[in-house]
Amino acid sequence: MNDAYKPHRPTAKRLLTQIGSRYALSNQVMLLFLIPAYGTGLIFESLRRDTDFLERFGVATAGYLATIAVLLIARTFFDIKEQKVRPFFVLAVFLLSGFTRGVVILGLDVLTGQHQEGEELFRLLGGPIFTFVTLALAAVLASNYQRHRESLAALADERYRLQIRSAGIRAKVQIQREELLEKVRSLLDPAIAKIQANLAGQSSTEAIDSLRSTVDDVVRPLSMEVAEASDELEAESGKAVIREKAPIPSRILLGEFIVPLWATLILAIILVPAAFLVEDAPNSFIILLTTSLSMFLGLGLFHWLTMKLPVPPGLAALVVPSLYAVSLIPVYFVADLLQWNVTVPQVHALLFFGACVGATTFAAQFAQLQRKSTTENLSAVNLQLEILNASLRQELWLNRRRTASVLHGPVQAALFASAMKLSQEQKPTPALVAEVEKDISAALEKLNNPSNLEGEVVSEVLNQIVEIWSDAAEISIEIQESLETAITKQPLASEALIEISREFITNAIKHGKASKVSLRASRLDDLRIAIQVVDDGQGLPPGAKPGFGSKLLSELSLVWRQSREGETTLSYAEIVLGNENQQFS
Amino acid sequence: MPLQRTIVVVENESLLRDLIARSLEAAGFDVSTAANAADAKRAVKATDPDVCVVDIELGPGPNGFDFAEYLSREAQDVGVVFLTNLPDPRFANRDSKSITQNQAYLRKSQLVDSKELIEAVNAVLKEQDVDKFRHDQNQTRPLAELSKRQISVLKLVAEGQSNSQIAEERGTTVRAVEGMVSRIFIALGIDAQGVGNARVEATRMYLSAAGAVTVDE
Repeated sequence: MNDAYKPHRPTAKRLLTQIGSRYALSNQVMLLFLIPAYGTGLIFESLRRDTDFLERFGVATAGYLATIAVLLIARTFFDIKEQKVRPFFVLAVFLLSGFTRGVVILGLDVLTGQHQEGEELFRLLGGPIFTFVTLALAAVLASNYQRHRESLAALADERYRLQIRSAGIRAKVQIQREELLEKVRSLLDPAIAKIQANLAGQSSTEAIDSLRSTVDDVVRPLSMEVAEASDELEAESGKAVIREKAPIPSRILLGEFIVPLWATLILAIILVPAAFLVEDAPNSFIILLTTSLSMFLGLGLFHWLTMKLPVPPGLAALVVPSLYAVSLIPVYFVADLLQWNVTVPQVHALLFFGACVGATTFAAQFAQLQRKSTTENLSAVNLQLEILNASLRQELWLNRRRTASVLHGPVQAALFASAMKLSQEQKPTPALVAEVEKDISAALEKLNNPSNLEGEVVSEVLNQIVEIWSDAAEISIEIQESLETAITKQPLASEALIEISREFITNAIKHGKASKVSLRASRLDDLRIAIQVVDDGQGLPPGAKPGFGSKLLSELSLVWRQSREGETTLSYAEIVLGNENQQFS
Repeated sequence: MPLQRTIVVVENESLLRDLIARSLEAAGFDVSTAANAADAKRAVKATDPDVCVVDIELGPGPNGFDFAEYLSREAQDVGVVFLTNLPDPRFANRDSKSITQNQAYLRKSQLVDSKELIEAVNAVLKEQDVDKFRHDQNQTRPLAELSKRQISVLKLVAEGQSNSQIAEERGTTVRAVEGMVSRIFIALGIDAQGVGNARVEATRMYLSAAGAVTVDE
C-alpha cells in the first residue's frame, strides 16, 4: 500500500501547531462549535433534568453566543494574515470562552429557577473543559482543512504558471533568436554593404580601413552587447482560473485513522465533570477509568486489526465513528454490574460523544492526508517549474553567447583575414575580391546556425581539458554511459556540461592547486544531470570575488555549490537535460 | 643552409589559421597548426617548435593562457607570440605580468599585414627587441589608462549594473564604487557633468575595446 494513503500520526507538537494556527479563531471553528454546543444543550441536558425543548434551546443559544463573543473579541488581537503559530494564546482564549459560557448558563439557570444544588462545579469547571476540548478539536479540523485548501490553491497557481511557461518556452526562445539575428543584421548589414562598396573601389587601403573600422565600431561592441544583455524571465502572475480538486484516494488504510491514545484523552477530559455530576468521587473515578480503558483497549484492538486493511474513504467515514462508539459498549455491562446511577440514555449519549470524537478526528486526519498528497504534488510541480526555468535561462544565455561567439570569432576573424589578404595587393584583383566576399559571407552564414561545439562531441572537448592539464594534475573523467548517449542529441546540455566541467576543473587546478581531480557526470533523472568534481586542492581562496565563472554557473545550472570536506573540495552542479518533447503537467 | 625554424600556430578560426600559416611558410618557417590547446600540446611534442603563435580565445576547452602555462611548465625554451583580439590581458581578468618579457603580444586588429607578425616571431627567436612587439603595453591601446581593477568595474558598468549592484558583486560599499566609477570617467576623459550620459559613453568605449571576451580567470 502506498505511503500516500497513510496520514501523519498525531503528535502533541503537531496538534499544538494545528490548534495555534491562524484558523483557530475563524468562522469555521465557530460554526463547527454549533454541533457540540447544541448537541449537549439539547440532548445531554434532556437526560439530566426535566426541561422543555424551548428552554434548552434558549440556554444552548445563550451559551453558544457567550462562547463566540469571547472568540470574536480575541480575534481582534489575532492577525489572521500572520503565519505565526500561537497555540498558548489560542488555548487560553478557548479556556476563557468556556468559562464565560459556564458563567452565562449558570446565571440563566439561577434567573429561571432551574439551578440545582451542587451544579456550580459542573458549570464552572466541566462546561469550560468541554468547551475547551471541543473548540480545540474544531481548531485542528479547521486548520487541516484550510491548510489543505491553501495547498490546493498554491498547487493550482503553480501548475498554471508551469503550463503557461511550458507552452511559451519554445516561442520565447524562437522570438529571442529572431530578435537577436534581426538586431545583428540591422547593425552589420550597412557595414558589410560599405565594405563591398570599398572592395569594388580601386584601392586596397580603403577596403582595409573599412574592414578594420567595421570590427572596431560594429562587430566587437555588438558581440559584447549580445553576450552581456539579459533576458527578462518575468514570473507569470495571476491566479489560476480553474481550481485544483483534492485528489481522493480510492482506498485508505482504516486502522491508520483510529487513534486510541488521543481519542481516549479527549473523551476522558470531556467526561470528567459529567462523571462527578452523576456519582460520588470513588465511583466517578471508576466510571472514568472504565470508560477510558474500554475506549483505549477497544480502539487499540480495532487499530491493530485494521491497520493494513484498505477500504474506500466513504466507508471509512462511516466505520471509524461507529468503531469509536462500539469501543464504549463494555461500559453498559460494567454500569449494570456495578449498579451505577448512570441511566441507559446517558450511556447512549456517551456512545454518541464517542462517535462524534471519532468523526472529528477522522475528518481532521483525512484533510491532513489530502494536504500531504497535495503538498507532494506541489513539490513535484515546483521542481518541474524550476527545471523549466533553468532550461529556459540556459537556452537563452547560450543563444546569446553563441551569437556573440560567432561575431567575436568567425566574423571578426573573417574581417581580419580579409584585411590581411587585401594588404598583399595594391589594387585588389577580381579573384581576390570574390575570395574575400566569400569568406565574409561564410562567416555571416554561421550567425544563422551558431554552435560553439561545431561537431565536437562532449568527450572530445573534455579530453582536451584533461590533456592540457595532464602534466599538472591527474584528472579522471567518468560520464555515465546512458548520459553520453542521451547528451549527444542535446546540444544545449552538451555545451552546459562542457562549460561547467571546464570551470570546475580549471578552478581546482589553477586556484586550488589540486594534483588530483575526478569528475563524474551522471543522470539524476529524466530531466537532470548531476556533475560532481572532487579534488585534493585548497578550494577557492577566502574572499574570492565572483566573476565570469560564478555567473556562468548561475546561468547554466539548476543549482550549484562548492564545499570543503576534510582535505578535499567538492564542486557540484545540476543541469537540465533538455528535451524537445518534454511535457510538463 | 640555415636551420629551418619550426612554428606551431594555435588558432581556432580556420580562415585565420591557414592565412597565418601560409604567411609564415612564405617567410621560410616550417609550420604546424592546431585548432585547440590539446592539439597544440600534441604538435609541440611532435615537432619541438621554436615558437608558438597563440590565439588566447580558443573556443570551448582550454584557452591560450592555459596552453602558455603548459609551455612554461614543460617547454620553457619555446617562445610565444600571442595573436589575439584582446587589447591586453586585463580584459581576461589577468595581470599584465601574465605576459613575460620574452613573449610578444600582437592584437589582430593592429596587424595590417603579416610583416609585423614575422618580425615579432624573429624577435622572440632572437630574444631581441621583443618589447617592440608588445601591443598590450601600447599607450594608444584602448583603455590603456585604466588598471585591471578599473577595467573589471567598467565591465560591470557596461553590463548595465548599477553602483549598488556593483558594490554587492564586489563586496564593497556603494560610496567606494561611486569613487571608482568617477575616477574611471576622469581617466577616460569623460565629463560626468557634461551633455549626455557618462555611463553610456564609458560603456561604448568598453564595448569597442573588448568585444565578447570568452576568457576569464
